Amino acid sequence: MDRKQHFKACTLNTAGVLALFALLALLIHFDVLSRYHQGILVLVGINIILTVSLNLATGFLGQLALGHAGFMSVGAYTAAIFTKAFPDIPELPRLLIGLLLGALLAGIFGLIVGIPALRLKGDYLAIITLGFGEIIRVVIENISITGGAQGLRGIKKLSTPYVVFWVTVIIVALLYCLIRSRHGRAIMAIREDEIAAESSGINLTYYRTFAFTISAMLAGVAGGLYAHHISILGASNFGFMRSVEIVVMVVLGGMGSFTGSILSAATLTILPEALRSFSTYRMLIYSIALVAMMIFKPSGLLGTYEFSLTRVLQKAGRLFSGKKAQEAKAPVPEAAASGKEGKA
Amino acid sequence: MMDQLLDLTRQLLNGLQVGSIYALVALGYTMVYGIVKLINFAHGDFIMVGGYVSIVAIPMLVSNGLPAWLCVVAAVAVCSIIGVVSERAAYKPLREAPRISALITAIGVSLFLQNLFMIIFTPNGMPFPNLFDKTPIILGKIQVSKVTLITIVVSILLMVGLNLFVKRTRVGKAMRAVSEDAGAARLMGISVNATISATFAIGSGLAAVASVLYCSSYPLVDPNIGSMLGLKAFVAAVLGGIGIIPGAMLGGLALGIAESLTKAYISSKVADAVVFGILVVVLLVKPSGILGKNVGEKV
Amino acid sequence: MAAILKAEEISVVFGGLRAVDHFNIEIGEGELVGLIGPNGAGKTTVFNLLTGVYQPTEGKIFLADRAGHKLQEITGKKPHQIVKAGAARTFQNIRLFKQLTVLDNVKVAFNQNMSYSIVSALVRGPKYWKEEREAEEKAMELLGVFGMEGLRDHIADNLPYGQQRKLEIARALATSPTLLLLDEPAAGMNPTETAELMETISLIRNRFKIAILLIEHDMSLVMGICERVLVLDYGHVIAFGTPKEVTSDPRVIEAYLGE
Repeated sequence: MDRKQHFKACTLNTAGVLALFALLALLIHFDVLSRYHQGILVLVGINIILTVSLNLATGFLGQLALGHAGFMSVGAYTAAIFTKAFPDIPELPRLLIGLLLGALLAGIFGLIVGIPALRLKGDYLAIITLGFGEIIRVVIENISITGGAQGLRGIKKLSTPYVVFWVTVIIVALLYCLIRSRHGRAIMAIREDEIAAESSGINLTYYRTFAFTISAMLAGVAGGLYAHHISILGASNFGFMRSVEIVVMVVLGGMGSFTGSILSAATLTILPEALRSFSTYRMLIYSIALVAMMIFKPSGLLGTYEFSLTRVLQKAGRLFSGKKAQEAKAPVPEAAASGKEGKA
Repeated sequence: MMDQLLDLTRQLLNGLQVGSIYALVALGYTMVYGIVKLINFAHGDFIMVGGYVSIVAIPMLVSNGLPAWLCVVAAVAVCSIIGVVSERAAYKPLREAPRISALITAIGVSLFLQNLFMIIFTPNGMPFPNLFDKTPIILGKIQVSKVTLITIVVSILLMVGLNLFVKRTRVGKAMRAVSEDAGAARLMGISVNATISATFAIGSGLAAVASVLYCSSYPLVDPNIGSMLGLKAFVAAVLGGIGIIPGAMLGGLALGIAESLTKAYISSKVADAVVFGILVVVLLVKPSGILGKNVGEKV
Repeated sequence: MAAILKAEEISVVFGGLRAVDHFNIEIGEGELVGLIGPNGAGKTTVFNLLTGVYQPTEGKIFLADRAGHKLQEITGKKPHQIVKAGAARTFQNIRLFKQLTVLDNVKVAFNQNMSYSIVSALVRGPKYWKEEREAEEKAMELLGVFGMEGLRDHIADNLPYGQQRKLEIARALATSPTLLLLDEPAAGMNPTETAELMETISLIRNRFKIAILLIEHDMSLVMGICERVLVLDYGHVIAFGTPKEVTSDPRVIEAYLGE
């Protein structure tokens, strides 16, 4: 895909995002979406960030990490403590600085966990991240700055649907660009075959640590948004089950597909709210879905498929005008390639 | 001085008690890992299953005039069956799959068990009946509860028995053969599937015994009791060297003592953190564990 | 002829077994050397030592630097550092990035020669476009050498066996090596494919001006294209010389026929 095509695709995607945003704004403006609905949308955005970020570590780098909720909690507490401490800063910059600090601290934790943990292979990494997640939780419960066992209260509800929308869009877009670059290729090569990657000149330690740290940072951002959505934080919000839920979203959507992550995060957030009776059996159904997915379609529902607006429009164009279809045929292999290459 | 020594002895006994429970559970992790190279995340949940089965079984036993501790038989039976069924249904189809798939499946099975029991028995804890009378036994100057002694003795007997079983019996030898090389074992006429089933059955059975012993000292059963305990037992298995049976015993006892001493002399709040700290240190210094050998990947 | 690779007295011990015992080798610029020996002789282990996958228990390894051809010690370096220094390899049991496309498999290997930063990747700066375009052109050129341009968007795992082997060589070449180590590149190929591959290998050598060390356990294959041959048995070098010298060496005949 060359620059010109990229520019076209970029314009298209920006238009798509703006249209989506306009729709959101209209729905909120005309009270179609109640406060409750808006709250669910905020959670959808937060879960999308959590899922795509874990997908970077698990789907693209190929390391099963079970401590994502731990990094989320670091970001949540950091951001919340900051916004509580500086009530005079205007709301939006206050939240954004809080998120940034949360990401930074979560990233530092990611680095501290990642450097030793990533020296180990698959299973051990899962266990060690799980262990670190638990340690972080124990620490939060036992220090005073986080409110200890009582929890942190009185956090301002700064995570509006608009803010969450844009933060989510930016994170997904950036991750997408990252994966479709030499750095992303290196990360995926490590997933495919570590020894071959190293023998192709890829610095394993660097890229593993990098991907893991970025994943932790983004979990921190999601945590910050979460804190300013629910307004009371307790360590129990970030237990092992939370991490597992994020893993479920990644796995069902497809390890290595951002589109899958977005769809599964949205579905699995909305479904329990829509079907109250479902929520009792939610985790039971998740567990069966996990096992069934691994047995029957281990790559997840979408595998590594990515949605491409360009491709959809091309197809639609071909459907509408028969003549144009002939012309469009020529670059078809190219189009198929750019589909894989990316929507960006 | 004398008092301190007595206190230390008491703490060591506590550590041995907890440690032998860890060891029993760790054996299951290690045996399963040795044979199918899978961390069976659901293994810890057999502690929970054993607890609930006992709670259901005890009133029935007592009303029939049988001793309450026979609930261990029911617990072992149910856990073994669930262990074998879960292997057949969930793990067997994934034996050739990438490790990450098998691991996710194991997490799925664990979630399934926890949530199934949560729906059946509600998320609230249930009290575990007294199996042993509370009068402590007096050994010289130390008072020891009966449960502590029984736990230690039963665990040691089971571990010795397991060792003999693995070394001397046909099934035990088959287990060692399959964990060494499943393909070659199959060619020698060993039924790999049956051997793997036997491993799951024995591992889950040991966890069920651990469960009854554990619940006798911490008499509250809820759907999540297995996860933390299972995790610690897993740490014990890694500490001793995963896949190595004596390693699991050693690791379990060492971890139990370390935890009990931390609780007594530092703070009970950091005990969990210390356990995971030990895991981190072991994995960094000698990932193959105390008794393990380093094996590199073949290129 | 300046030496490009030099290994001095390298040995490796695995739990009491000396898999490679006081191995010496010197390869000159642009030379094509065969490393042969019966199964289990330690050929792949030698490769793993030379490329940093295993660390030698004793001995030293030197590789000429890219510019001045001055020998520099690479013992103890990590595989990716050795690749950067100029030695690339393939694997006996093909190791491709199976779920990536053919093109991406090759592009991964350009990574160390690309320099755009993470930020540049995120904002798609000019350097990103320039280097990505260059990488793609070069990758296509390499695929062209093997007649695989048309397969660029295929998933590597779906390629037939012979193509996978070729792709692995293309990937190794993408790191722009001065020395290429090929581990049984003809394994699993039929005689026609093998002959064709051997031709491609000498073509590569001439075109990219690189030295090649080639493992093969079937002696007759390497005789045609290698200038020198090294015979390994039980971790020892038992013969060394031109193909003709080696084939008439009684120790080699014994190792192969086991008399």
